[in-house]
Amino acid sequence: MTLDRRTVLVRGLWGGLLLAAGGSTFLALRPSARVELPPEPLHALSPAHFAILLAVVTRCVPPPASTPATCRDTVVRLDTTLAQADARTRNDLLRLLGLLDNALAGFLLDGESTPFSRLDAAAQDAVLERWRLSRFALRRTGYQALRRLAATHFYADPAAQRAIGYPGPPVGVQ
Amino acid sequence: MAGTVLEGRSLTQNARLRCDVCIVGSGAGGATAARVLARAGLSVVVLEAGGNNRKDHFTMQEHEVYPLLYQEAMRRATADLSIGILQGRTLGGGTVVNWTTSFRTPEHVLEHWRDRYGLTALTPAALEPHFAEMEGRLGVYEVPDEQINANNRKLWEGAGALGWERTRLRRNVRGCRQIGYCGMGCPFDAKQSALVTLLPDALAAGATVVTDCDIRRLRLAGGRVTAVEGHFHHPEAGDRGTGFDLVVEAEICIVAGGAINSPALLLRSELPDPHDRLGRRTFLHPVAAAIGHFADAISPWSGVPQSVSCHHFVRRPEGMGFFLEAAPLHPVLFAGAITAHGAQHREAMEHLGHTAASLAILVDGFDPSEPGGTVTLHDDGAPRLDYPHTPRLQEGIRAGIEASTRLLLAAGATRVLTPHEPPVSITRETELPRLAFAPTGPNLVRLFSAHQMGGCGMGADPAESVVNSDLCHHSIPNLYVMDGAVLPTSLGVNPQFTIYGLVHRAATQLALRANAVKMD
Repeated sequence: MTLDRRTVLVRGLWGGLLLAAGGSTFLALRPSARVELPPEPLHALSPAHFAILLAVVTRCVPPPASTPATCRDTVVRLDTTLAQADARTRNDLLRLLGLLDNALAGFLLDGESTPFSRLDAAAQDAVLERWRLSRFALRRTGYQALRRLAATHFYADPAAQRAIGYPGPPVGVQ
Repeated sequence: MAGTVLEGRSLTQNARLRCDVCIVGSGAGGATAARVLARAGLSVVVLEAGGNNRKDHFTMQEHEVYPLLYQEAMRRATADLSIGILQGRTLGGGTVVNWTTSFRTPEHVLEHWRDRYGLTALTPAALEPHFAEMEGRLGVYEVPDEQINANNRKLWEGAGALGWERTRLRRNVRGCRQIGYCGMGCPFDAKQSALVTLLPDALAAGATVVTDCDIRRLRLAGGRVTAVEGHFHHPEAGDRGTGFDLVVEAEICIVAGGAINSPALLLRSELPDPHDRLGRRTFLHPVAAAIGHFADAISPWSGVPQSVSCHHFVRRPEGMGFFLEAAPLHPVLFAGAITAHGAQHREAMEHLGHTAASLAILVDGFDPSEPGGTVTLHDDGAPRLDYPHTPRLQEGIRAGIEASTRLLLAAGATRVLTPHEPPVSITRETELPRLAFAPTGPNLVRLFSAHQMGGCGMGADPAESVVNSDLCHHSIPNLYVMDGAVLPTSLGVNPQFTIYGLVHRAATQLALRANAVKMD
């Protein structure tokens, strides 16, 4: 779907009406998907953040064939990274996840009133594609942050590396 | 008397040190200055933000070493994330993680600096003994043909098939085992980084090295720097502070934290900057990488990372120049660099073993229309870099991607993927016109930088520079900047040896002056 200036304005007006009617509260507070959490405690992510990131990783970097590496483990690694990151980086990323899953923002900009994490796979891909090629620089920046984190953390798993034929360091060096 | 290495994270009290020369940063610039000045008999303290990481820490596991050895755990980027920035942060700085390519400063660059910035002292003859000294100490040699790996061989063959200028590179390694892990620190100490050469030389001459230091500001009084202030932290744990502070009182202060960090430290210190030059003209050699799929195995993670280059387009009259080099490809680095999404990303990863990369490295900073990037500060004092995607840059990126694509096809690639969002897939030369319809602009073409330059530029005119050709601050006589931040433009070659040469020259002169003052 293309997003021209008129569309933005019309949606903005419609959003204003919704705001006035109290509908914004309903949309803005629509909950994220619930997913099974890892047994170990999360350090930086809330359960909602975990669900959103799991969807992002699954869509951006689907695992190669026949690897035990999982997107769920990837999100656990991301949680560790974020816990060790500086506060500014961590807060920026958590806010980005919140914006991605915010039904009100999605509705105003894209006409999508379901939180990202609750969409089916094809619809999630469509949302990410809109962010990836958005005319709004901030959305493109957000997409880049998410995909890079997803990709670098998925392929940090030696099992994922083996699945693509990477032999790892030469044996016996250390 | 042999000096010592103190690990700041282990200290359980505040530290107060006094010395002749305090050097902030231990990379190519800082370590060179430390070696020269300590050998001249001056008391030297070197402060490093990163950790005291040695070959035993270089595990060759990307997820373990990148957070240890790179700025911001390898997540450093321009503010809009449109250019990822690979920059070292560990004892020895970028020399520990670079790919060892060793060029002297091109003569036409020195000519430009003389004509445009009044840097008349920086002639090839004046720099010759300094380059020679550093090349000898760091074991620079020309890569023999048998050390060219498959990844670089494709670049060599492609350039040859097209009749483009190509050359074998020189590098600073002794006894290379050719395993391909230079970017993660050499586990054999074969790479002649500052960690195993210049810093041991400085320590042998009595220097003190302190790691894990977060330097916050320079203290000024009476128009001079009187002390360097910071605190100790855990660099591998989000820079969490230890609770203990550091103050180093010094007669001379040398800032050598690298481009981006050095101007940020001067900005935090609120130094006089009447002409608004601090942080300006930061150059990145922005890189656009095309990847080629080949029928034969490439194993681009293995072998000497960079052994050939193509400078055929480095001085383009029609726009920004660029040069072409190969890159080692390991899974984490590659996964984060490619622009594919979803199933296409998986497919690209599954082809990694048959992939060669051609980097088009843009030569920024030579045209009056190129302002370069600007370093400012976040609210927490951390550096922020904004870099404009000018029309000239975008034209250069288009030309560079097209050249890389042609080269990879000429080398036998069955398919080339460009760094556009989404990647353009090219299988034959007749499809090249499709590149004209690919998107341009921030985050529509994936860029990164392995060469950071400028931000405290040198020049004869204080109105348009921060330091002079002796690398001394224009208005603070005991403050020097000795790192890549002083470069007034980019270079068109990998910068480590330009930094070595310029700093060796400046530090040698500073040692003479400082000792003369001590004798008075």
